[in-house]
Amino acid sequence: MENSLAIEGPLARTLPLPTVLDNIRQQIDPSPLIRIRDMSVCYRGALGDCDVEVLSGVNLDIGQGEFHVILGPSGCGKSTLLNVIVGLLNHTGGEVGVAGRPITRPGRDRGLIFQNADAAIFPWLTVLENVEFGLRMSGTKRQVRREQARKFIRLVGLEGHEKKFPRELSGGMKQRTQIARLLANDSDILVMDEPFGALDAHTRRVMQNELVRMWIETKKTIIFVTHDIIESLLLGQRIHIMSQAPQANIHKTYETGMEYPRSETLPRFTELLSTIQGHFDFGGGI
Amino acid sequence: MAEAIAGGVLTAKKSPLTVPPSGRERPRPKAGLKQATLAKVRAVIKFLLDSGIISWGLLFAGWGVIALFYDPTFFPGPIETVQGAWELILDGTLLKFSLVSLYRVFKGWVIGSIIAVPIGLLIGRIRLVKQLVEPLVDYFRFIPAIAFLTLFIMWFGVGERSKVLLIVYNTCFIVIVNTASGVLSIDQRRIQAARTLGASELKIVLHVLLPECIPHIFTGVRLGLGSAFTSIIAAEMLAAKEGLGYLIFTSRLYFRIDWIMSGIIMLGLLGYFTDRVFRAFGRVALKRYGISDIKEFGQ
Repeated sequence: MENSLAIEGPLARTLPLPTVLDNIRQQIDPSPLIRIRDMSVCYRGALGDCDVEVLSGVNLDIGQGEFHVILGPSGCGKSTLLNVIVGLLNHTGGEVGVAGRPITRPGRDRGLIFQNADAAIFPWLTVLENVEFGLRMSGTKRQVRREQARKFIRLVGLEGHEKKFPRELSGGMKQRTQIARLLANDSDILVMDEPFGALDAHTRRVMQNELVRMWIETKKTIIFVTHDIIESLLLGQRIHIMSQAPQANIHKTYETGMEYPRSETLPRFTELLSTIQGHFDFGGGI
Repeated sequence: MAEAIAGGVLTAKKSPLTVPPSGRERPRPKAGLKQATLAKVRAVIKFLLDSGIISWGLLFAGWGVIALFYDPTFFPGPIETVQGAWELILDGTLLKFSLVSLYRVFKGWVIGSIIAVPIGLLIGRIRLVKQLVEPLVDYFRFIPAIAFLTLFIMWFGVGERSKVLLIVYNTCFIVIVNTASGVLSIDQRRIQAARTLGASELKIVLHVLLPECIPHIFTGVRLGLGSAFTSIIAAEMLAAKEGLGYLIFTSRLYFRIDWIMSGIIMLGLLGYFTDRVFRAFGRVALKRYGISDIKEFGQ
């Protein structure tokens, strides 16, 4: 509240009204960590013109330490959106910014968890070496990065498996390795592209609970993409529903407002489930 | 449910009705002995087949039989060849020539591989390099080293240099082609993962591309070893005073077909054992990169 006093100073009278209002808005609602405004992505044709506009008019605000789920059917452009946030793909219109800076390329602050862990983790490195990979790339001393890697291996529950090679790990353990790798690299934002999609039902449930635990422990910002409504309700603080490509955007956002760990039997859970289900049913408005 | 079924099966097995008469189940000691010897014989046969001794035995036997029909000076059999080789062993020629050839092969092969791997990586990584270099590689790899023999001797002299260069030339292409195909087949997601973890382009090449391609490179270098051995004869045919190629080529002047045979056999043995050593090296030192030995039949 003290900050709001500033606009009552002499400056308030000299500044034009819209600027003053902007100032107030910023002070009350500090700008989010990730800010996406009217963003669009085109896949260019042979002539360099916009061939297919995959995403169009996407607006998304993600605050520090929040858990957001992006929900949508296969092929709706979820992965495209993720790739833009991570910086692997350049958007063609609008703005995308992290902590006030526009995103143009990948950075250590944003880590990506791939659905297919086999394609993402390095099979010739042990779990420990995989986890410390990012630190090795940035030239951290061996002793320091070993320690850091061990810490996060413990956090993701892979203690005792440090010396194993990926081929000796189960699917869930591979995903834990991927998560530890980003945590050890000190990424603030974890972007997860259907990370549990390839796991069996039991392991998936375990990993969902584990992810919530890790999120609470590390206070990271998570953007989690899935096409599983139950999963989105178990995990997200906010659920963004995407419409179908082409020209996909955020169709609707739900505030889940439930404590963790969540259960499917909560009234709020079942209520949201049926509401969201309604979007995906035949002719449901997306 | 599953436990119940498993339990049911267990009890069914124990029931006297389904168990075969104990006499059949437990063979008498004598039959057991017979079975044991049979198993031993099988194991010996398997070993003989696996180790290639039977193949070699058949080859030598066939060679001996064919040689019976010809004049030994014209087509010596295994025994005459061994006798001829013995002369060469006694005066030290065979050992000396083998070492000389092996050294040349080794030099050319190592230099060729060291040149070829970076070229292959660049072809696979940089489009312009691929566009510029690949057509030439695809053209020259069909021209064997022997075609350049005279040119190389004229350009680089009759010394070691022309011989080693010839082997380098012959080794290069297969290593380049294999390395490049390894880089081109790499999963893009692995590179993206490294990039999001903060790896620079150079570090991606060193820490992702190179390890990822090691199986391809290894195969290329192994095949390159074969090419190096095949070109050594060409390299030593002209203007050499030592080496197995010299031995093979010069023995015709003395009409010592048995010496030619000895040289050929020695060359094969050298290649065979060098490859064995190289494979063992790969299996032990490069295991983490996914190099395993040739798979067992049916696996």
